[in-house]
Amino acid sequence: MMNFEIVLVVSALLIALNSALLGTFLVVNKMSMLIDAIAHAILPSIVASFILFSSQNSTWALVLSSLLGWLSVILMYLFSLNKNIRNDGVLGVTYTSLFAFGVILLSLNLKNSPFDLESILFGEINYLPFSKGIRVVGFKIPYLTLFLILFTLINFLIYFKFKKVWLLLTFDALYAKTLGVNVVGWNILFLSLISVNTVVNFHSVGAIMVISLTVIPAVFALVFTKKLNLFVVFSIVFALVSVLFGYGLAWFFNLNIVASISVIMGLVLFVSLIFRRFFIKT
Amino acid sequence: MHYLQEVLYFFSFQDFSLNIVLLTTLFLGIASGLVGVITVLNHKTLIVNAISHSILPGVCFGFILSGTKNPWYLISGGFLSGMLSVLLINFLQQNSKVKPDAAIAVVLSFMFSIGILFLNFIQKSGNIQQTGLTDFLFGKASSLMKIDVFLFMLILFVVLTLVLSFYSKLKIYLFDRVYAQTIGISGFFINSVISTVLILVTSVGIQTVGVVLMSALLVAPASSALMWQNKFNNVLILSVLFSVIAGVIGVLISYIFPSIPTGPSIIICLSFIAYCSFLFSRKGYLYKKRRTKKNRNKILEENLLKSIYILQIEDSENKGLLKIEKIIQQRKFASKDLNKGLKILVKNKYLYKELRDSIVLTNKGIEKGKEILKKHVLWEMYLQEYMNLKPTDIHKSAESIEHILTPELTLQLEILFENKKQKDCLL
Repeated sequence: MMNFEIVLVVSALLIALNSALLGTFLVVNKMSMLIDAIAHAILPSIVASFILFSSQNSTWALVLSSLLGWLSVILMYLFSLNKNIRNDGVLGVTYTSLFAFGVILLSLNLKNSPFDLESILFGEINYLPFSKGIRVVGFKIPYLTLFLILFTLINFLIYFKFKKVWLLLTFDALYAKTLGVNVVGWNILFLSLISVNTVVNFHSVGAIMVISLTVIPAVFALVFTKKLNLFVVFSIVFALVSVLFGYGLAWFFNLNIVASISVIMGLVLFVSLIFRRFFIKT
Repeated sequence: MHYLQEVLYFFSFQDFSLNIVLLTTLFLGIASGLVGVITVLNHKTLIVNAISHSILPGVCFGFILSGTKNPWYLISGGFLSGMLSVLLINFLQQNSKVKPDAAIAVVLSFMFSIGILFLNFIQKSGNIQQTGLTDFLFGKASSLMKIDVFLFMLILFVVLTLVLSFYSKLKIYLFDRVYAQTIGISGFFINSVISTVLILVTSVGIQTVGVVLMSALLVAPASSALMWQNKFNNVLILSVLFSVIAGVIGVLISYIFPSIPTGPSIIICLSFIAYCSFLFSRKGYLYKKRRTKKNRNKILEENLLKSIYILQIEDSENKGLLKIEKIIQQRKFASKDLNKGLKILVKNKYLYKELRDSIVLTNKGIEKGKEILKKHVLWEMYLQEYMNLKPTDIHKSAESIEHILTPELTLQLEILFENKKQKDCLL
């Protein structure tokens, strides 16, 4: 394996690992479409940072878009708590209008720029090994991969440290409230984690595939288990295995890597569901 | 002046390619306004997202099979894959305990990934016509052709026929599902009709606004219209109106400023209408907030006045002079609420302040206090006499009813008890 292929696979594995872990929280809490909303709402910030720092993948773009993504997620969450504006129209209109605003901003400022709008939807993980990075013992590691390693550590630290709260919020938020747990505060913490991770993943896998990497593993695990520990382990293992197979498929047929990963994930999910439906009597 | 001329030229309808854009926008606006209301009332707003993303693989597949960019092939492919996505979502929900939103997210990203793989495949096949296939992602309103106008018109015709022929059934089903089922309207059938029109509109709509913004094209006008009107017919008309107006203004903006793409500018106009509706309509945020505040103040005012009135009846020695501390003894008020309530009462001239810590009720205040107490007592009597409730249970209900009992109802209650008294005397 070449140097850049190792970086590619490791980054994809890390992204899948993070997304699968956070996906378990989102899917059970009925917030799956929030990922969709975040991924689209951060377009203006990415465009703005591109105009300011003239690079699509700069560290500043990452920081700025994380900030805006975080802000919009927290606002949307707080909105959804307010009884006077509890209306799914508001949420739908907000993130689509942000996306439209981003597209307009882009076309006003950067008529013939190298900014690639399609890569926002498709994701171009292939370019990741060639972005800026540092050299460690003759081995080039992109900054984005370093970020991913950092976030993996933070995610798992938080997961293991606050596992009880996580479990409580995931399975019975009302019970948690009666126990005196600050549900809103914890939700904000977890949502912040999710939004920052989504933005970082978004930069390498695009707006749509970040959804499949987050949601499909958790849905798959939910079909086969009901215990929290097993649920998390199942979805992570599923995600990692699909990354390897998807990468193989993409390498063999020379296809988009992330798209083949999520197609593999979806196919396995649907085939196993069909198998369970028609061949196993429950 | 320069802009004014362009606007005038725009509305003279002389430009052929501009007319094509305007006509398609008009047809799409009518269709999406109608279907949007049905979608929102059927709680299917999230499914729109899944359908619009799922159309990509169908469009690519249509291109692979036919080898040309003929819109008929592409749209039929898109329609079929839209259908497939709805079926997949239903399958996923029926065969696992997954919530609808997760099922939609799974199908959305899965189908879109298949679309990307198809695009990869097409790019490698080296067909010269393939450029422009990705226009489906972000819309290409400005590059629509004459054949597209017929396509949009046909889709509008089919949508209108379907909606009008099942209009009453649709209305009943959207208003009350259970009732619709009891009178023999099949939920499955109506849902199929709704899904069909939804997929039809989506498969042409993404040509104008693109995959991502399609859901806003349906949801924004409908949810704005629902903020203003309650009647189904009126909501439909208003929604169509909103969506057509936003469409024309969006096309105008992108005509005057050519660097702004048409799809996003239509969506920005729609979002503007939607935000105005969410904020300023009668069901909107500001109105609701003001009403809540008004009600809260009214309740506080009346409770305080009642307490003061009761206290004043109890000790008539002090010539109506009442220490503020005593109010808190009679009924628990937070000191912040107490000050606020007293301020309101002084402003409405129900009482005035004497010395520093005492208050005196005016004649108007006494009248009003008497009235509130009368309402309270009347309601308590009513509950006791006619509802056979225990005396211990009635106080709480009377506490809340006294604020909303209208003068007419009070009069009715009074007459009721007057008659009863007379009857009792006769017996």
